[in-house]
Order: sequence, then structure tokens, then C-alpha cells
Amino acid sequence: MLRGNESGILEKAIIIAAVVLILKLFFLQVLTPGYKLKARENVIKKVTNYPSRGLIIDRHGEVMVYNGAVYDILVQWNITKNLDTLKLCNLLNTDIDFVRKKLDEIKRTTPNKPTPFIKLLDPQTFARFQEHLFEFPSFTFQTRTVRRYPFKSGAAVFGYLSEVTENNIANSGGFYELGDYIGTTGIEQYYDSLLRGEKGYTFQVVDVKNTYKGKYKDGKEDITPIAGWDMVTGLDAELQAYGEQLMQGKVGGIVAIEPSTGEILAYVSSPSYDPNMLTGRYRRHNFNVLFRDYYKPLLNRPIQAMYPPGSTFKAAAALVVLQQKIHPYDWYWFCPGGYRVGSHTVNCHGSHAIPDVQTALQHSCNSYFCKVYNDFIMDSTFVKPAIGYQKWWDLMSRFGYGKKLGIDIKGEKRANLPTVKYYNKVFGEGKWRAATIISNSIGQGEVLATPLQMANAMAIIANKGFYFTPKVCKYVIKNKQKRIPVIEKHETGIDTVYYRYVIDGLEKVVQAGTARVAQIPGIAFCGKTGTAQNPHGKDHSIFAGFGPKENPKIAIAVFVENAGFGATYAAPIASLMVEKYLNDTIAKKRIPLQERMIKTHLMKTAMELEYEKTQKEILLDSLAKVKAKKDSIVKAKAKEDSIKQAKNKPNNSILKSDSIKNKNKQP
Amino acid sequence: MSNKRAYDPIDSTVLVCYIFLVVLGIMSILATEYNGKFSSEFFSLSHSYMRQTLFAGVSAIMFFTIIGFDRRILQFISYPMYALLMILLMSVFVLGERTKGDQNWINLGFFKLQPSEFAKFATAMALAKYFDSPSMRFVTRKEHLTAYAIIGFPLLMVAAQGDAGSCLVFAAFIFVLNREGLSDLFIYIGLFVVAISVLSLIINPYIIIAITLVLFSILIYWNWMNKQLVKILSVILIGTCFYTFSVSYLFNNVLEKHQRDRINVILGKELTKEAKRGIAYNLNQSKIAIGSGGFLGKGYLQGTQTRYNYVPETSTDFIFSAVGEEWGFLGSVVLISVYVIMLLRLLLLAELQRSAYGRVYIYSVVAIIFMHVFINIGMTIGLLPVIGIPLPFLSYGGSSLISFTFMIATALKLDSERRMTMR
Repeated sequence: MLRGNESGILEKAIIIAAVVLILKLFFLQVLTPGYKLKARENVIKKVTNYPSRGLIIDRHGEVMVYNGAVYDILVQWNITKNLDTLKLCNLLNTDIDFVRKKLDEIKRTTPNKPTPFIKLLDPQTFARFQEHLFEFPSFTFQTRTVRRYPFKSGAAVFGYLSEVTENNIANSGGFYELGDYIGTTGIEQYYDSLLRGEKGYTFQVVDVKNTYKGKYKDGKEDITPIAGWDMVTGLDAELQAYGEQLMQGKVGGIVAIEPSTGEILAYVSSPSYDPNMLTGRYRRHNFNVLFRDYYKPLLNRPIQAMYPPGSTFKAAAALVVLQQKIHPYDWYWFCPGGYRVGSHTVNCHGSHAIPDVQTALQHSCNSYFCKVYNDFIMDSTFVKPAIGYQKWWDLMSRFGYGKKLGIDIKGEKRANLPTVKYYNKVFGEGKWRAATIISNSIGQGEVLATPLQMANAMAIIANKGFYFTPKVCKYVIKNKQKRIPVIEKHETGIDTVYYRYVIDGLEKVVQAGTARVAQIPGIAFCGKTGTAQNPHGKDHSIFAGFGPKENPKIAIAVFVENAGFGATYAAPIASLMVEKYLNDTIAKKRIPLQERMIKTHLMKTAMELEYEKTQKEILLDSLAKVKAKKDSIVKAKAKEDSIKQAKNKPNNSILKSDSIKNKNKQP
Repeated sequence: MSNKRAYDPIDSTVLVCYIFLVVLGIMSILATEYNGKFSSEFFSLSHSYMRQTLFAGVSAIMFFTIIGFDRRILQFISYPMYALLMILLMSVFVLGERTKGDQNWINLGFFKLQPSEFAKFATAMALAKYFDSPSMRFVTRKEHLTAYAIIGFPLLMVAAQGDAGSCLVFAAFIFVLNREGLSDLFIYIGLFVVAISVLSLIINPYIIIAITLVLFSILIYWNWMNKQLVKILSVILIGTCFYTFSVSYLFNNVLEKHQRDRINVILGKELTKEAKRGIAYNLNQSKIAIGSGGFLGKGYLQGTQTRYNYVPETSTDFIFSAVGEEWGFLGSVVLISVYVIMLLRLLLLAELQRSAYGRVYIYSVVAIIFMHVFINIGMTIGLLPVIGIPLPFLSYGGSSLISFTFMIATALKLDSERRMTMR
């Protein structure tokens, strides 16, 4: 101990204090590892660089979907000073309320980092704002890309992108973050993981005020974004646009397939909309408008709308009968102008002789098809009609009816080819015969099909017995590396010979039958009209066909809702589409037809819709009034009764049993 | 006496430690401001590291001036200097500027003077002078009261200015009095009061009283024969009971809000939103800085926390976080060791002094520096509440550096005269 010092307390205090400090430092610096990460998180800002989404290209190499630049305007609240709000509003085309609300929100949530103020600003507005950017030092921008559609068509097939939901983020395996965009419908959805590419990141060093201070490790840990796969589709951009043009003002859909590959050539859902509407700043507003529209433009009609296939069903129905050898192709039938089933008659267009199946198709003879259908199911080789129907169902379903075809667009409907089980449930087992369900034979009744299924059935006939799963995507390509989706071939198991008769019949339909309007100069176009009875209004106009007859290049189905006979609208539209695709131009003499088709407007105007709505309201109102009156009468009567009853009651003090007695006495 | 002989016998250990600390201070201040680029701007006096270098130069001049003094001059100016500093300290109430709630600056235009920094030095001198008087034996009540008054006056003054740090530093003079004969009991009572205060903020006061009752009953029972001790223990026991209840009152009514927040952070109590954003955030950033240094540190000028201003006031009160971040655990231990070596060496020198003046003075200097170092480092690592008090020789600030230089230089001067007379 030091000389002359009695206690040395200060010395001890110094040593104890030093030991305490060093122990705490040891704990903090050596034993707690989390601080390194926290310090890293503080200074390193991860900036996402979005990859450019894959292009979508048509079969001829035309770019149908590309990426256009838009701009997010960001603001950092804590360095904002003397903001000229009015000027900001003028430059950005917004109202002052929006600016105030947004700034207030940013102030409350993330005041010390750049936060999106306006998202997806279009290049024109941005260019104007950028000239004045120096006046707003706390404002920055980041470039984003949105989809652009130069042909303004294909909304239904491409689908749209929308902001990711919590679910998407959870299912993306860490790829998506809040505020990202994901393909939500169409092929954008189906091939999202290929189209989106891989995000890149740059790591920046920032100070406490979030000001940029340089690259982290000179950018050694940065990751450059990888662009998505470009997609080559089987679509024909011109045909697609032409189809949408022909369908304008009409409700329905067109599907065109290349039979030899299953590639979709055109995919029209009408009413359609410009897909550019659902990108950029006004996406939400436009989406709401489309969503509320009476005609539901967001419905993907080619795979989601289900119509009775009508007479187009007869082509497959004929093949099934021939395959089962119920009747030979040249079986003679005299149509008496209708087919009688009990008290009910399926009408035909006048009486005529049907020497063979070709003629039956040519004239779309209802009674012929009812008869052969009846003979099929009731055939003696089957013990019961149910077994016969099951056989018929098996063969028909090979044409793709009543099942999902597996197109690369989500949301496909199965439509309906009613099963034995269904009929057993409705009529009871053994209580139904062919006659009970006769309307199936002509594609009416419970039978429903989507336009895609109809087009696919035609592709099978064009191929004489097989089809490839319909696909929009031909292949995806990146850095000269190709990826081709699996191509599945499906056989129908129906002998090729029978197809020849049916194809001849379909050719006759166009040449001399119900669809003469669909004749294309120089092309042997085969097809079948259909008129689906619609209990809710005017019949649907249907046409399905393919061309040319030899070596078919295109199979097509056209649906026009509430348009009348198949030959009125669907057949001309289909023929124009086929002509456009095969000849690239429309023959001069058919130009007026094209003009007429384009100009025809079958949809109700806004005024008509409004009128309809008011009529409905008036009706409901009067119904309510009647009901109210009825109620009041009932009430009045009840009151009268109760008064009568009260009068009959002699005294309140009388026992309960007595009152019951009294009641019983009343008549 | 020639100049050469006057400089020669300076204690080299303390001098080396002093130079080490000042240089590390300038380096660390540079580290907190360094922007990664070297340009002509680098030497501009607008940077605090350049100003600190300037202050270091001024300090050097002062150092040699003081070494050149005769000790009699020092002894002679002790009382007048104390009087002057006390007047300056009082004038702060009138002329002072408020910084962060503490009123302790006098703005001289070119320089912001902090009288409390110099008052510590003056108090040390005045106390030494008082103990140096020939009849002084530190026994009588008058002698005790006068010594208490010399320390107590500036203590109350800085307390009134809300400068808790300086207040604690003046309280450290109790070590000096202890060395001169004040009973150890006072230090233990002081520690006891601190412990009771902390405990009664965390635990229910009734539990504390119950425990103290049991403990003291046992102590009194054991020492039943020692009537003097029993008397003292009983007084302490009763005092504790009253004090325990008054702690929460004192805490809520005497301490200011920011002081309460700072204590709450350390005690891990629930904080107001404002305190979470302010003091808790700052303290956490300081801990992140020091913690992220790891064992070896990030390397000089590589500290991201301190360079990019995540830690507040890195160049002044939180300079240690820059050291901790860039030099790691190893560097921190070295720094603390340098302080310990310096202080222990000074203590040794104090004991070697023949005059009471030298001994008391150097002892006071050790107590002052010790308190600064312990509180400052303790607060940056979350061991003690945040108290605005500089780290001696390292923290940016003219008042602080110059006044500590005064202290060390005077101590070395006193020691050098001892060496000369020994020769």
C-alpha cells in the first residue's frame, strides 16, 4: 500500500470501476453478436432494381407487349422545406386535397426516408415535372416499368398485372415485396415466374438522414437484375386486332386454333378493352369502371362463358354415330319437319329427304340427329339406355366437351356434358330414356360448351382425329436459349374414314347449306352454324369451322350473344377471320360484309340500360306496393278478428280454461 | 533556476499518457467527421478536429507556462482564482446560455466558456491551499465545515444549473476528504444511498424497508456491545425508512424530465414515445456503435455508426463510441488501461508529495478525472444514465481540454519541484 495512506479507497475505486467497465465492454463487444448486423442495417440501404419483364411476341415476330418507362415520385418529409404545394399540384396534375392527405400520411409513417408520393407517373407529365425538380429538393424519382400494348388488343389473353397481395408475398418464396406487381390473369399470371425475371439490388451507404454516402464495398455485393424470359406466342397480332375490331359492339368471343399444333391464333373476348388502360397511374380507377360494367368486360369469355353449342354440336354427334356403326353414312332418312317425342316435337326447317350424313349436316336437320341419337342410346347392344348414354358420353367427351382442355390461361371452365349420374339424380335410376334427354342431340338442353371447346372440337375434325392441348405460348427464349412447353397429343379413337364424310358435310354447309354467307373465294372453308336457344332473350349466333379443307391451317369458333341465327353474324365473322388469316386481305367483294360486321352494334346503349334499370325499379316498386297493400288488408282483417274476439270474451277475470272454451265455441 | 532544469524532471509516465490521450482525441474527432475525401478543405478550421488541434496547441503553451511558474505563485493564486471562478459560476445564472436544458455556458463570442470545467480545477487548488495551512489537522468541526463549504458551494451552484455531471464530479471530492481523515463510513453511506435510490425505483419501497429492517436488526444484535455503532446504525435505519419513501417524490419532482427519462432508460422502465425516439434511440445507437466494433474493431476511419452520425454528439460526450467502434474491445481496454495507469501513477505521486498542498491537489485531480472517465464511458455503454460530461482529453471542446491540461500541468509542476528538492 502507498506510503502514508490509511485506506486507499480511491485506488480501489479506480480499479473496480475499470474492471466493471471492461466487463461490460466485453459483454457488449465480444459476447453480443447482434450489434454488427444492426450497424449494417443502419447504414446499408438496399435498393431494388426491377428486372424488365419478358416481352410477348406474336408468331411473326411482332412485339405485342413491351415495357414502357413510368416514374414514381418520392418525397422525404424530414428535409422538406417551404413546399410550393400549388405548383406541385399543377405540375403533377393532382388536386390539393390529395397532396395534403398524402404528405400528412408520409409525415406520420415514414418521414425520414424517400416514400412514394405519386406512383407510375406517365412520361409526359414526368418530363414537365423533371424540369422543375430542382425547386423541390426533397423530391426524388425512381424509374419503373409498366406493360405497353402497341396493338391495344389481347387484353383477355395477356391478362393484367396488379399489386401483390399478402397471399402472393407469402407464396412467392421471398421474391415479391409489398408494392411489387404480379401477373394476375391471362398468360401474365400463368407464366409469371418466367416473365418476371430476377430482381437486382444495389447496396448504398446512407447516413442518419438517409443521404447517399457512396456504394457499399464499391458495389461488390450488388446484384444486377436479370430480365425475364421473352415469350413467343402462337398469336397473330393482326388477326387478334382484326377479331376485336369485328367483335366491337357485340358480346361474345372468338377462338382460333392452328389444328396442327394447338397454338392459339386469336383469342377474343368481347366487349374488350384497351389493355393499356390497366397500367399506370389510373389503373385502379379504370379497373373499377370495367369491374362495374354491365357487360362484364373482365370476364374471359373464350374460356369462361358457357353457351349451348347448338347445331355445331352435330358434327361430333354424327361422328359418334358413325363410329358406333348405328347407321352407315348413307343411311336414308325422311325428315317429316320435326321429331316427335311423346307430346313434344323437335321442329325442323320444313320436310326434306336426307340421303346421307353430309346432307343432314348441310341442312342441319334436327330430326335426323334426334333420330340417330335416339337409335344410338336405345340400341339393342346396350342393355339399358343408361349404358347407351354412357357410351355416347365417353365418345363425345373425347372431343373435349365437358372437361378442361388445359390451356395456359387460368380460370378455364369445364362447361357441361351431363353425365349418367346427373340424369339418375334428376329422373331417378332407370326412369329415363333417349327421348327424355333428346335435346342433347342438337346441342341444346343441359349441354354447354365454351368457345375454346368448340374451336378445339373443330380442330379435331380438321386433324381427322386428334388434337394438341391448346396453348398460347409457343416457347420462351432468353439469351438464345429456348424452353418449349410440353405438347400433349390427344387421340379421339374415332376412325379417320368417318371424318371424311363429316368434313364433306361441313364443306357443303358453306357451299350450299346454312352458311353460304361464309364462302371465301378460293378457299374451301368448312364449318357449321349454330343457333343456341336462349331462355333469357334473343338466340345466340354461333359458328365453328376450319379451313382450308385440305391441310387445314385454322380452326375457329365464334359466338355472338343475342344476335339471332348462326349465319347472321357468327358465320360471316368467322369467314372474315379465316380469310384474313389465310389470304392476309379481304376480297374486294366481301369488303361491304366486313364493314357491315364492324358497324353492327348489338349491345344496349347506356340509355337503354338506364331505361331498363328504371323499368325494373318501377316493377319492383309496384310489386312492393301490392305487397304492402296485401299486408295492410291482412293486418286490418287480423285487427277486426281480434276486436271480435275481445267482444266475445265475457270477462277478463274468467279463468283460462273458460277462455279456451269460449274460443272453441267460436265457429 | 534555469528553464532547462525546470522541464527536465517531469514524470514521463503521466506525460506520455496525457499526450496519448490528446492525440487519440484528435484522431477520434477526425474519425467522426471524415467524409472519405482528402482535399484542401481538410485543414479548414470549420472542422472540429482542426479546432481541437488548435486547442491542443493552446494547451501545450499553457502546459509549459504552468511548468515555468513558481509553485508559490500557484499557491498564492489559489484563493483568488477560486473566488473568481465562483463569481463566474454565479454569473452563468445571468449571462448563461441554455444548452439541452443545462445552463452552463457563457458565450464570449469567439469561445464558449464553461466555468464549471474550470471551477473543478479552482476548487482543487482552494482545497489544497486550505489543507496546506500550518495548523490544519482536519479534526475540528470548524475545519470540517470549511472544507465542506469549499466543495459544497460550487456543487450547489452546478446543481442549480442542472449540470448533474459536474455535480457528481464535485461529490468525488469526498475521496480527497477521506484520504485526509474523513471516515470511510461516509463513502459507504454514500454508496448505500445510491443503492437504496436505485432499488426503490425498481422495487416496492415496503420490500426494501422490510429487508433493511431485518439486516440492520442482525447488525445491531451482533454489535450490541458497541454502543457508538448501534447508535449510528439506528440513525441510518430510521433515515433509510424515510428516504425510501421520499425517493419517488424526489425522482418525480426534483429531477427534470430529461433526467428522469435517462434514468428510466437504464432501469429498463417503460418510456414515453418522445423518450423512445430521443434518449433511448441515441443510447441504443451508441451501444450499436460500440458493440459492432467487436473484438478488434472496424479499423480507423471505418466506423459507420459514428461517421454517418447515427450516434449523437460523437465528437463531444459520446467520443468513446467512436473509439469502441473503430478500435474494438482491444482498443477500449487499452484506452481504459491508459487512464488507470495515469491515475494510479498520479496517486503514487500524490503520496510522495511532502506538502499537504501537493498531496491534496493531485488527489483532487485524480478524483475529478476518475469521475469523468467512469461516468462518461459508463453512460456510452448503458451502464450509467446519460449525463452530459466530457471524456477527459478526448472529447471535443476547448474548455474541457484546457482545464484538464491545467490540472495535469499543475500536478506535474508540483511533482517536479518535489523531484528538484530531492536531488
